Amino acid sequence: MHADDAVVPRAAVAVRGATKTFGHTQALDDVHLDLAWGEIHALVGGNGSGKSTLLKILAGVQPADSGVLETQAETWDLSRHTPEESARAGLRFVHQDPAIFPILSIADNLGLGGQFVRGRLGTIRRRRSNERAREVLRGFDLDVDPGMLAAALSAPQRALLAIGRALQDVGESQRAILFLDEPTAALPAEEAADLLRTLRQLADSGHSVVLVSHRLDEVREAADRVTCLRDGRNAGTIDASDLSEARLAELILGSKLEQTVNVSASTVSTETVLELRDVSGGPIREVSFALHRGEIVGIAGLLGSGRTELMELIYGVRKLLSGELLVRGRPVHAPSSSAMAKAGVAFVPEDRGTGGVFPDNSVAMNLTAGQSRRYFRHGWLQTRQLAREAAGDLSKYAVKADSAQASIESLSGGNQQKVVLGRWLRTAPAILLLDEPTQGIDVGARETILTLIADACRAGSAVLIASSEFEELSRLSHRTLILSRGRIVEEHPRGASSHELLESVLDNQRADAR
Amino acid sequence: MNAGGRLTEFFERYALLGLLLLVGVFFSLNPSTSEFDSSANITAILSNQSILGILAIATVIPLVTGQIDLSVGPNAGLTSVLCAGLMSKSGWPLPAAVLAAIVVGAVIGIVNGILVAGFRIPSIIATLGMTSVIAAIVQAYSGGLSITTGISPVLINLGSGNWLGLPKLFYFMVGAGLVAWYFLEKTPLGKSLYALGSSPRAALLVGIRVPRLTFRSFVIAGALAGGTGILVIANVGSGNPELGPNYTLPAIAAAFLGATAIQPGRYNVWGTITAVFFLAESVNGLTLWGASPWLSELFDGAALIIGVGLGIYAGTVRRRAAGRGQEEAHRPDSGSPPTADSPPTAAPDVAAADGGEAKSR
Repeated sequence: MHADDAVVPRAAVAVRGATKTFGHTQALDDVHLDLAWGEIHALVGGNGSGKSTLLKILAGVQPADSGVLETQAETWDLSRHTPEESARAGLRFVHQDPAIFPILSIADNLGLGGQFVRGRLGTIRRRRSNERAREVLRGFDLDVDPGMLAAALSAPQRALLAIGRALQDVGESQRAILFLDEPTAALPAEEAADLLRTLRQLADSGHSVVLVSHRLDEVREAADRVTCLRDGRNAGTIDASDLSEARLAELILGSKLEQTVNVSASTVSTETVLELRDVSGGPIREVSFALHRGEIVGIAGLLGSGRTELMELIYGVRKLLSGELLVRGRPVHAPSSSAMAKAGVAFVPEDRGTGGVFPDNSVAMNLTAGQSRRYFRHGWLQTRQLAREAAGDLSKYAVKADSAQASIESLSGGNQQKVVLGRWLRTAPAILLLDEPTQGIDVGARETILTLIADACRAGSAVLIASSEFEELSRLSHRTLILSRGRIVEEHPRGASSHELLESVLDNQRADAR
Repeated sequence: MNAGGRLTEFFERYALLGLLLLVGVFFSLNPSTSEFDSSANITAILSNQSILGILAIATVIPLVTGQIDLSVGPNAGLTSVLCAGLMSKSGWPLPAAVLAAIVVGAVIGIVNGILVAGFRIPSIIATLGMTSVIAAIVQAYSGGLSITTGISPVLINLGSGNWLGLPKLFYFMVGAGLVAWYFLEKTPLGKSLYALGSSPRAALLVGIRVPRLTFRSFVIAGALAGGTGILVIANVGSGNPELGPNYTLPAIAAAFLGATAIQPGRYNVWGTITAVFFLAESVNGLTLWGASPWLSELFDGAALIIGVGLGIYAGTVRRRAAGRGQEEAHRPDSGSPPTADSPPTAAPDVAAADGGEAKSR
């Protein structure tokens, strides 16, 4: 793809011997990283592989035990690295949560990066600040009014604003090393592609771009070189030209990935468990479909298509304006999450952090939340039985945790998601609503979760799954519905490839725009 | 868990209880505070603090769900004046006056609950406003005068004398503590309350009826405070319109400081009661030693700040100890609910999690 710079590129910075331990855990063990000017370098690895720790150390927010950062001019000691030194070494960071303040203007959001234009008394000079902001943003193809509130920006525009803020103090003649932590995690495919193009432009203009990502397809498309971390050690650095997704997955996991999950083959019963008749509410318009026992139905659509809202509508956390909702043949008149949960409907939300896990609680509590009634006998909560069953279920759902009493926050994102899913699976739900169930988790955990979903389907659950990973939908679903602007516009039978799904989604988006 | 971890945990749990005992022993042995361990003094502490203990328990219940009730003290003040007034001015019999006090307390809780769970007014605002409304009602009803005559002797009698060597009021607190502990720790209701306090949205999504539970926590707190008002009459022998608001800060301070003991990191009944007595005996001992009376306000203020501070500090330490897993765990965002580590302040949008508009994308 970019074979012309396969010759050893000119080094921008090098990290040598980065080591960091937390308690008994070796988070980083003698990690090295070589970055060149003009390249997009992907940094990949499973959850807990040490990527985030490495980024924090380089940003100077967390000291390493040892290690150095070498630039052409200087060598920096990573055990005493500060954010100021990091900036002087030319390092810039865009974090996963880009910290855009929606209630402030775009110019103020830029200014908070330390670059307000001030008057004599230290007051902010509004007009000059705005002019400056406009200039900076134009460099990133973001042609917006700097006086506008950042709330008005779309998700991809916010990402651009964050990049602009990180790079605003880098002069025309200077070059920076820009680290982006999962910049596309919240973006749908098309907008992610736009962002990646911007990154390519940055690299072409001489900067060095480091992309931390879980999306293997994106890494394969965008990166020139890939460095993989596994359990805090270097698992290898390879050229993108030698890269296939299978090779990449193997590098991350340290073993071959068995893509055995394939449910489409299983038989679907004719028993309807969920039926929507002309359901409207929020952005959803007259949606009708039926879900059968043992069936997996995929929902594909771009951001803003109403995927999440459709799930929330069915689960009763969003108001149903008109239409009929039937659960196992019986109409539900005023859907609410408690009524739905009682009727055997399960919902795994997209926002694991705020809607999935109960922070500051144990794994056992998280696995059994909302189910304590089952353990209430003789006027007493049977805590010992609860603890025993929770511990047993950890292995059943392949959750890697020290114990059932460990804090949920001590688990990696993938394992937290297994707990959230497991919480519902242990109730053997009739209907399983899954909103982006594999978002932000590594390939290993992803396979486990897909396997669990497939198992639940075989055990008789009906599954409705919304995902922006079309490849997952293609592998799992018996049918896939295309959602666009709150309407179901197409239905694809089993076996539709992820490429077909993407084409269909984009076609409908274009048709709607017209 | 290794031995070191267990030792740290033991220390975290029982540090405040140990301190309570240590301070008690200190003042008992201190020759300048020889009255400290006299039975009259100990009885006085146990009686007075039992009232505060129940009010602190009433405060804990909404706190567990991530809400705060500032009107618990004034509520008790109102019902004490009302209960005394009904007997004295209107000639009601004791049982009717007692029932009326509890009902009025519950009604205040119902109004708080509707404001918070129904209208989604931040609890700190709703109950702060309620505090002032109650003060007005108390003034209107009592004219600012204490009601000292015509109170049932049965009630007055309750405030003096012992059962089995302990002041009678103390048993009421132990009873309230046991009931609250049972519900919070041993029933599904309590688990739901704690789940709600940990994450309102996650609680909603596992099928917990968030608004209803929030509402109930305020009603329980209100009824409990209303009942405590009756015991206030027993304790001081009159219906005193000035008394109620004085309980607000100590009760909240004890609830927050209590969240650092017995079950550190969460609001809990026994930790709260430990905190009530720790604060009381410290102030009492120091006063006997010659300290000025303003000391108690200093102590309550400091306890509130230290309690919250310790909670945040301990939370940070625990998270750091969680080590590598934390590294890529979720980032708590600004919408995270109040917990013992991050007490409710401005606008915890708990009730916002019900029906209507869920988080849109």
